[in-house]
Amino acid sequence: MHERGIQMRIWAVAVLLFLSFCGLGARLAFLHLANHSKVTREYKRKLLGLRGRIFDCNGSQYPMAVSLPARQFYIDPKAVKPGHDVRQISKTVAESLGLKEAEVLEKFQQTDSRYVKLGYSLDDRVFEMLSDAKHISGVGSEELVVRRYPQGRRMSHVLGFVNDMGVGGAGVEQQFNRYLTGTEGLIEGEKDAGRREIFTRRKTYVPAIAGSDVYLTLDHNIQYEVEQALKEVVEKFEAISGWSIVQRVKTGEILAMASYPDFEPENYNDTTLDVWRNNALAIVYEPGSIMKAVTVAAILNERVLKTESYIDVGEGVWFYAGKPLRDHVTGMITVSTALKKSSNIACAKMGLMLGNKRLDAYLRAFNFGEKLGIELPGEERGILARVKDWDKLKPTRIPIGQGVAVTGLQMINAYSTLANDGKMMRPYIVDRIVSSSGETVFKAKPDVMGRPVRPEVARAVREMLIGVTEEGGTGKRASVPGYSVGGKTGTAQKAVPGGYSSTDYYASFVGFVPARDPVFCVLVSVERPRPQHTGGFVSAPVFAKIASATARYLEVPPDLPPEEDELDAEQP
Amino acid sequence: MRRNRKRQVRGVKVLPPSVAGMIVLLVSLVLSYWFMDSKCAQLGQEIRKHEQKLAALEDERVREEARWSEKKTPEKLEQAMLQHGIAMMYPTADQVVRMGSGGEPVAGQLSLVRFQRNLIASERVAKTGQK
Repeated sequence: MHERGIQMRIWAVAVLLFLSFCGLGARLAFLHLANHSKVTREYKRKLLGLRGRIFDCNGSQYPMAVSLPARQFYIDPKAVKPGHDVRQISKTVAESLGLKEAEVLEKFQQTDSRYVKLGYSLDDRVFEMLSDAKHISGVGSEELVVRRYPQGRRMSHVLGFVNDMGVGGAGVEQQFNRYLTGTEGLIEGEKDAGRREIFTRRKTYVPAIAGSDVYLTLDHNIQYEVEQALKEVVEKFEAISGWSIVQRVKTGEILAMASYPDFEPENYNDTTLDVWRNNALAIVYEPGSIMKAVTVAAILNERVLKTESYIDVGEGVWFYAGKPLRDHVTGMITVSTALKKSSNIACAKMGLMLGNKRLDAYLRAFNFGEKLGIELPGEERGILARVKDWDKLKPTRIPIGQGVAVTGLQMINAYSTLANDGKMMRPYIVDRIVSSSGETVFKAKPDVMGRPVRPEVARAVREMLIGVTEEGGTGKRASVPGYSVGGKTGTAQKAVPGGYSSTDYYASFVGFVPARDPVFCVLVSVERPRPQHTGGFVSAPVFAKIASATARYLEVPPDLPPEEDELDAEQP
Repeated sequence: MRRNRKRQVRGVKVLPPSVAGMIVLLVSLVLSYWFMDSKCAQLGQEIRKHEQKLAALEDERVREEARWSEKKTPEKLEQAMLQHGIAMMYPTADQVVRMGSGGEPVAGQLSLVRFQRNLIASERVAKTGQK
């Protein structure tokens, strides 16, 4: 009887256990098989692939653009816990994110939304502070990648910017977007009741891949000098804008490219569309007298004239096709003097001597009217009408830089060609692209575009251009102590509807250093300087400043003997 | 009167010994599995924490690099130097002596004049000393 009682109890316990297990099994099946269970336990997290960096030619020591992991904070007013003081939370949030307390408090009162954007922080400590559930509620955060430009406005027109969608919107950021963009990674698995990933239930792990790094040919030190000089001249002469380029003549690589006014790529929305434009390759303007070197090179290359051949420029006014052309030079002058003194009539006559077809062929050989193919968006091709559309006046005006429109890049490339013994190199701005794994995916090589003139002709023109910066030349202010300088001034009236402005000019200077064995070429153009407006007065001193700093920075050996007064000063 | 409970229970067969042994074996297997699983989970948690820490440190490194490069821009360096009353400029051409591969001054440089003059002066001083 007693034995039976025990067996009954055991059975009772067994049945109870069985029933409990059945209950648990049912619950388990419900949790595993019901749809909502799958959804609620699913864990999915995207891993942000950082955008690639942009460096200058000095390598990874000087990032010009970097992507930084940050946290975007937002307010969910409905998630504030009953015991929490909104005022106190607002104060902490405002202090952490550098916002105004009243502003944050106001956002907490927007109860119609569950996502009120606050701001971002790069500091992990802020995230820790605002994640303190004991004291803070109603504040959420999400991962964010912020594009930063450590040097601020430096190279802004070349670098461009990244828009709110993380896509490059201008400059290198736009042109190389597909290289720079990182690839998102993914983690898939399950999460626990606290919404944390259960590590052992991870199903998928695809690591994020950072975008490739772009190395520019630009040097931030030269760029700094160029930007400083440009800013000064634009402000001093109350000009609308200015642009400058420094190019290495042997390779065609761009060492500096600047436009002013500039902008902060991080706050690109603070400026207007025209400020984003890279004027050095997007503004098309009549070059004026800086075109004369091309004309002289063409006439010498065709052997129509020699450097010492004489041209009659008359009394300073020459009528052709019923239109007068004025000149400040008179009498019989040589081709060299024509360039040194920047004679309009002599160059116009050279244009006629060449004839339309040959003149057009040389201009096109120097790549005017065509894009040079630099790796930047927005490059203009300039304006060079077809020969059949030229009127009678055109061959006398194009040689002096009127009736033809160019970009600054085309102009400096033409002078670099003359400086490089007639060998025209394609200008380029990106040296290499390196993937996040360290593999070089692109390496730029100097590319010869053509040889518009013979080497001896290029050398002869170079010699003539030295005269421009010497005593009696129009570009004396462009001289650099210790170095020979070859270059040309240009003052062009701004084209306005129906003709030319009598008050607005483009003042330019383009030249190379050292003149007899050029290493680099510099172009400076200023739009509508006032009250002085000539290239010799406005742009030549800027050229001298940039060239002097660049020559010393690049350790170019001086090629001029010491000046007399310098020696006298040194006498013991 | 005292009851001998031991003797009363001795004869009861709840489970056969083989089944009981199997259950004990299964339970011990489950327990060891459970113990190992929890150990693995614990290790997994630790790995995850380290992964997160590594990612956070990597992020911090990237941010620090950016901060450092912001600090060494040419204008920041200039400002810093100005604060300490230092101004830097490129040497003038006559202050630079360029040497060839053999250590001789390169001809045609501005500095060569000064270099030669100094050389002559020092030779003169040396000669005066000898006398």
